[in-house]
Parts: sequence; C-alpha cells; structure tokens
Amino acid sequence: MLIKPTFILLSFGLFTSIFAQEKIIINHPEANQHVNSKEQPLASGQASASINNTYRVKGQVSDGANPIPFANILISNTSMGFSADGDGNFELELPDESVTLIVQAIGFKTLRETLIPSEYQNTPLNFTLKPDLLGLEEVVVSATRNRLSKKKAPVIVNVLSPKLFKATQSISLADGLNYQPGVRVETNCQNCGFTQVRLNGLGGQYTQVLLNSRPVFSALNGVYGLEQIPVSIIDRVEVVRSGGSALFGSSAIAGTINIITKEPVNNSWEVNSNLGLIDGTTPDRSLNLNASIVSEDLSTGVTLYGMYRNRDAYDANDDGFSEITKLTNNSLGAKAFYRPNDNSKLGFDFTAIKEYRRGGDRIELAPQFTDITEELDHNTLFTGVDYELFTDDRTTHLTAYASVQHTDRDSYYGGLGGGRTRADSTAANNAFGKTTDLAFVSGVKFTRNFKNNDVLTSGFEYQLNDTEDAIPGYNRIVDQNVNSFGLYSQYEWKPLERFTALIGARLDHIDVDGFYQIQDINRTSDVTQTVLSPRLTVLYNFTEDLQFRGGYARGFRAPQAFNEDLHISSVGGEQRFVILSDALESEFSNAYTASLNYSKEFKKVQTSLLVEGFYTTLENPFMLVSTGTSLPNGSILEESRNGSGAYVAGTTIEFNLSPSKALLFQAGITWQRSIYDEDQVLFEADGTSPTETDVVTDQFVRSPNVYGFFNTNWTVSESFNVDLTGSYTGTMLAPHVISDTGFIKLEETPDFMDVAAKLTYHMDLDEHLHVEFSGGVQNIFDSYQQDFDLGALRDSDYIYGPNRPRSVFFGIRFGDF
Amino acid sequence: MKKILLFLFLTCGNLAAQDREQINWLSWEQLEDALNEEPKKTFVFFHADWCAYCKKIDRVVFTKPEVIKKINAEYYTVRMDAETTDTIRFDGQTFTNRQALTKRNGVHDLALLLGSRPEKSFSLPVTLFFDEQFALKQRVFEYYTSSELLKILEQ
Repeated sequence: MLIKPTFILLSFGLFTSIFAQEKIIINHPEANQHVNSKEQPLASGQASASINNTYRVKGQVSDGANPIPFANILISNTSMGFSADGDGNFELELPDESVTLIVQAIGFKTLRETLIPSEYQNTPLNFTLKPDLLGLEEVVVSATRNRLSKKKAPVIVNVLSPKLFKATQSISLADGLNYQPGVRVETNCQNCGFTQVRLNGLGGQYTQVLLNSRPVFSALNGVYGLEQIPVSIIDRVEVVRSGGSALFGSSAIAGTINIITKEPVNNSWEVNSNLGLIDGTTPDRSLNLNASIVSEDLSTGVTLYGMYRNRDAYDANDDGFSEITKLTNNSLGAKAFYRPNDNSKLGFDFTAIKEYRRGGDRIELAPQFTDITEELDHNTLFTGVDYELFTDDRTTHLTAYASVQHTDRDSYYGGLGGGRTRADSTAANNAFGKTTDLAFVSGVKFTRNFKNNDVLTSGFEYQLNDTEDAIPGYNRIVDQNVNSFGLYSQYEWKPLERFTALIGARLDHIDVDGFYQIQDINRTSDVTQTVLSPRLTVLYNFTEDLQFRGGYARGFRAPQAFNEDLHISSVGGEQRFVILSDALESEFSNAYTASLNYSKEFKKVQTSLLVEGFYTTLENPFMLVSTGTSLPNGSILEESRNGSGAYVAGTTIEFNLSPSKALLFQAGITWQRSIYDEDQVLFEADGTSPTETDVVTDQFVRSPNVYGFFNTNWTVSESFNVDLTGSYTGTMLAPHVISDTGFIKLEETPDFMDVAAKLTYHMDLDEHLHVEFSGGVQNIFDSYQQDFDLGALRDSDYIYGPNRPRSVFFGIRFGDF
Repeated sequence: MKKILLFLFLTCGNLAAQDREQINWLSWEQLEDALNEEPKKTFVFFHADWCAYCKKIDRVVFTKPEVIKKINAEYYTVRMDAETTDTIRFDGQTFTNRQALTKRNGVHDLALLLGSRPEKSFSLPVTLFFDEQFALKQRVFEYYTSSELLKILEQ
C-alpha cells in the first residue's frame, strides 16, 4: 500500500485554493478602484478612512433547509462579485453604504436584496433562494428578434414545446395551437378543410406566420400551410399575441406565430406512426421519419425529414358529403448547416410538400361527375439560405437570409351542384383551375449589444409575392404582385434595473399590382404606399414576483387578396367567390396591451398568474360582404370592402400550477368583445324577395366572446405519462346561407368543450433505441357541430366548433431520440 | 511466411479487440482506492441525460480508439451524472444531491464542488484533468473533438 499521507490534504487543499483564487472577480479593476478612491473619501471626508470604511459580512446561501453551494453574489451597479463556498458560506467585503446584492445559483430564482452592511457586522447575512420549476427562464427568440430569457422579454411570449404537441396528439401545427391562451384554430370549409388561426379573436390574415423568424408564408400558404408543417421537425412555436412584437412586420396586427425548427447536435433518428379513427371509423394515418447527422467538430450537419399522411374523408351526417376533407400529404425536407469557424454559420433549408385534399361527395369519381368537389393538389417547394456572423466579443451579430417558395396548384372547385342538365355538366367540366404562387424574402439584420446592456437591432427586408390563379371556366383570374420593402430599427433601453423599454419603428413601402376578375366583373388594385409604424413596449418589475408589461403597436395592411380571398367555397350548388371591391383603402390598426404577471412559490408549489388586457382598434377593416347570387351564372359573390371602424377588446387570464415535479397544470381563458362602430352589412339584398332584407350586425362573426383551454401533464413514473387537455369555445355568430339567393341568417352557435386524454408508455430497449407507445381519445365528450347542412346545396362554410368528433388514436414511436 | 501470417493475425486480432474496447470508467470509491494504490493522472467527466453535447462526447469522442488507448493507458477515469441522487463517498467526505430535494434537475454536490464557476451558471459538459497528485490541472466547460481532447491529454 502506497498511501500518500498528503493526498487528502492535497486534494481538498487544492479545491479550496482554486476557488479562493476565483472568489473575487474583478472584471474591470480600474472601475473598482474608482469606486474606492473617489466615492468613499467623499462620503467620509478623509482619504485614509477609505480602507477602513468597508465591512466584512458573513453569511450563508440556502434554499431554506440546505445550503446552496457556490451561489454567486454580485454587487449591483458594480462589476464586483463573490462566490459562496461548497457549504453555501460566504464572506463579503462591502462599502459603508446601502448596497443591492444579486444572489444567483443555477436552478434557483435570482434574488435581489438591498441592505446596509453595517447592520450585519455581528449578525450573519443569510439568503434563501427559491427553486425555479416553471421554466420561467426559458430562452425565447420572438420578443425582440434576439435571444432573450422569457422573463426578461418585454413582450409576452408563449412557448409551445413538442411535448404539448405530443400531449394533444397533434399531427400538424394547426392541431396543437389551440392550447395557448388567446389562440383558436378553426376549420372554415367542409369541402377543403381550410383552417385559420385566430389570435385575440382576429382572423387568420391578421396574424403573421414566420418560419425560423422569417416571413416565408405567402397568402396562398396561409390557406392550407398550417396543416402542411409536420410537427416532428418543430423544436418549438413561439406565439406573441397582439402587435407588441415590434419588428415582425406591419401585418402582425393580432400577433405573430414563429415556428422554430430543430437544431441537431447528435446523430439521431426517429420513426413514428399514428393511426387515428375519426368517430371510431374514419382512418387518419401518418408516418414520420427524421434523422440527423452532425460531424464530430459540429461544423457540419444535416437533418432529413419526411412525412406521409393519409386521412379519409369523414361524413358526419350520412348525407354523402364530407365534413372533414380527404387529405394526403407527402413532405420531404432537409436542413443543413456549415460553420466555417466559431463566429459564423451558414444554413440551408429545403422542403418539398405534395399535398392533395378533396372534399364533397363521391370521392371515388372524377370531380366533374360529382355534385360538389373541391380538389386541390399542391406542389410546394421552399428553399432558404441564411448566414450568421458574430464578432469575436459576441457583441455584434449580423444575419442575412433569403428564401424562395414556389407553389404549383391544380384546383377543382365545382361540380354538378345537384343538377343534371347539359349546362350543369358543361359548368362542371370547366371548373378546373391552375394556380402558381411565388414568394421571395430576403433581409439583413444587425444587432449590437452595448456595455450598459442596451441593445440596438436594425434591419431591412424585401418581400415579393406573385400569385396567379386562373379558372377559365368561371372566367376567374387573380393576378397579383405584391412588393414590399421594410426598414426597421429598435432600441432596447434599460435605464433602471427594474425597467426595460423597447422603442422601435418600422417603415414599410408596399406596392400592390393586382388584377381580379370573376365572370363579367373586373377589379384592380394599384397601391403604392409608404407607412411608418411605431412600436413601444415597456417592462417594469415591481418586485421579483410581479411584472408589468405594456405596449402599443401600429399596423397596416394594403388592399390585396389575402388567404381567405383565394378560397372558393360552395353553396346552393354553386360556387362562392370573393373579389376586392373598387377603391379599397388600406386598413390600419392600433393595438394596446397591458398585463400583470405574478409568479410565486408556496414552498414546493409553484404558481404563475397572468392577467392581460388587450384593446385593438381597426380603421377601414377589410370585411366580406355577400352580394347574393349576383353573378350571371347564379354564383354568389362576396366583396372585400372597407368596414367602419371596429375594436377588439378583452382580457386573457392564464394560470400555471406545478404542485410537484410530476404534475403540471395550465389553463387560460379569454373574454372579449369584437364590435364594429356601426352596423355592418353582411348580406346586401337585391330587393327581389320581400322577406329578404339586408343582414346587418355590429359584431364580428365567428368570434366567440369566451374561449379557453387547459392542459394537465402527469408523469406517473419514468415510463408512464398521462396527458389531459381541453379547449373551450363559447357561443358565437356564424353566417349561414339559408336561401338560394344567398340570403344569410346569423346563427348563434352552441358552446363546445373538446377534451382529449392520452397515455404514453416509454421503454428503453437499448441505450440507443427507445420505444414509445401511446393511445388516447380526442374529443371524449363528442362535442361537435350537430346542424351541418345536408346535400348538394349545402353551405360548405357553415362549420364551426371542434375540428373532429370523438376519435381514438394509437401511436408508436421508436428510434434513437 | 508463418511469422508474417501470425503477425497479420495478431495485428488484426488486436485491431478488432481495440474496436470493442471502452474507457475503463471507475466509480469515485474505486478511484480513491486506485489512487491510494498507484497514483496516476485522473480524468473526470460530468454529464446529464438532457445534455446533448455530453451525449455527443460520449458517443463520438469516447469511442475513438486513439482516445480510449491514451486514456486507459495514462488516466484513471470517472464519468458521473451530475444529477444523480446517489450518495458518494470520496476522500473521507460524503456527498449527496441536496438540490434534488427541492428542484428538478438538481445538481449533485460533488459536481457543484468541482464544476462550478463564479458568475456563471453550472453548465454541462464539465471535464476535469488532474495530475498524479490529484491536483487540478485544467477544467473544460464545453464540447471538444477527439483531436482537441488528445491535445489536452498530451499535456
């Protein structure tokens, strides 16, 4: 036995000496000397006293029961810091004046305490830190377009993790978004399954959808795009409600949905397959694959992914017409990166989506032999390049990017419409259409972090969107070219520790050149406009637990065809078209938000409560007005017109509770009113029928005054997990065409509670192979619309409430993940 | 000829055997015994389940034959889950994971002792290099490639 007697002493003597050396960190020695030689002599009146005018204060950092080793104790407004030892004990040298100490330890909430050092000469100074369970320090991107801790972000950002997508058995993004405060996803068409996201009650076109912080979604992608993104490639989705997110585009009036895709480090692969049975019978199958390879030095890597989905059409009322569309989707993509050195990164994105959807009746026949068919065959290709560059000290960051999206779409919106005449047949044979859509985005962003923690972000962005949609049989053309150039700048100002302000503005120059035709009606849009949109957000921390945020944002939309305007639905056996009215003017919005966020722990129980008020005014809002069956072939024409002013005002309450590690509960509810200043015409009667007069309302349609969600996650054991989620939709007004003139009735819809439960079982077959089985029921209480129209003459847009009736699902996931 | 064949056979056998070789990880208790018996340099690696870069090192760097060979020849090695809740005895002291009593992903006292940096949060991976006297030579708080690791091991 060669026992070295000094070993024990050596080892721990060594530990102590390392940490002793690191105990006092003086980043800028000169700065600290200034403090000692200038301020203290002035205070005490004699220079020689400066050394004596410091106090040695001893104490301990603990969590209440046990000491916390190696907490950092910083003196606010100086660069001085100390570190506690392994037993949480520390000894500080403090000046003879009131100081604010910042105590930090990983996994604990940062504590600030202002004290007078002389009071602690004989009493120990003890700090008790509280653990941080709710992930409040999560890092988010959206709030200011730079990475920022969620709690420090002046704008409220809700983060949707893949965990939540899994909990809700979401196959596409559209399904998962319902479980966020202030967010509602609704299906707007029984024939084609057109979905849109409503933030704070405003329609889909008021929300800007971003992919990796870039606006690559064109108006056309907005129609079906949310269902085309496979969940397996999403790292997280950040939702910012209201226009407070300063630099995310002038059209982000209701808010921003930023989809962030995964960034791999390890080689990994995953296969997952799901089978859902809608109403217990109609299958919805999907298969997802993804694999990542990253080189040893992390300088190159690629993620490959693919998705296949096949959902049969579902008919809820056995009338032979679909309520849920048949859908097949094949997506294939790759995301690669190359880091030439530590300070730069080049990224590439490629995605190809082939999606087919069809709804209506007799899906097995060619569309022209059916009564109603909406058939869409999308071929979309996205390509993007981005480049990031940091300076050596990481204070300056430059990003440049360019993305192109091209979609080729074959469409069929038509059918015999219940008739069997030669004219019906001719019309049905001429309902084939062709759409091409090109979107190009390019931009540069520059970020500079100053020494005082202020941040300046500036950039510019160019967007082009060229859409051509032609259905010769209806003499329908949408030929639209939108060019926009945006210049933005924002300053994050932190004059006080408790206060942060984001002051920014955006200058947009937009150029719309559109030609719209349906049958004998032609419209054009020729707009050139430059608009300045100021944005302001403030954050004030009353205490560590209570934060106030407030914001103002101005937004605008130039007249053009948006997603809804490109969608054609059927009613009364005929098509319903949308066209822009003459002399349409730009829409402006002013959005105000204010919120209080309170997070507090009661022993091990963690809670957080957010109360947010929002008030958005709209000037000249675009709204659809039905002119009835005014087209020569008997089709319904809806015009996009400027409505009177309007406002949307409401309150969202969000509550989080984590009683223990294994249990998490979240719930949110929104109450709101969406009111036009004057009664708005939704249907313009032509006077031929005495019983049919103009239909007017001052309320927004399809916008419930109350809606909310909850989700509960219970980790029963390491291998077993239970999720219970639900979303509530209150009553609302839904327009319903009830006569062959296109006359509408405003129906008050019932409320819905859509609850889903999921069980997951996890097994590790090997260190490199895991398997997960899951199963559950969606919409357990079968809370589903009961009054769908029947047959060929139905109003296909008369659909509201949960996206599917009671459905069961099973899933298997395996791989090295 | 026979000699050449025998040589080839042995070499191939050796290569094949090397492929399957692993780093001889010790527990802290084993390390203490080993150090008492024969002083040697020590290599300590802290990781956690969720740490993607740790996993990358485990899978890519620690599986390289030249790394395994070098480490096994010259170092005692300890690999520890920084979030383990095991009680560890080392150097006459007992270490537990007290953070785990109050929080998720609590870091073990021993990992905090060896892997903390002032003014910075505890972050993973943490790799420590000790000399024959168990005096700390270097701490690395980030990912490294096998060639970078070999360079440090040479020192």
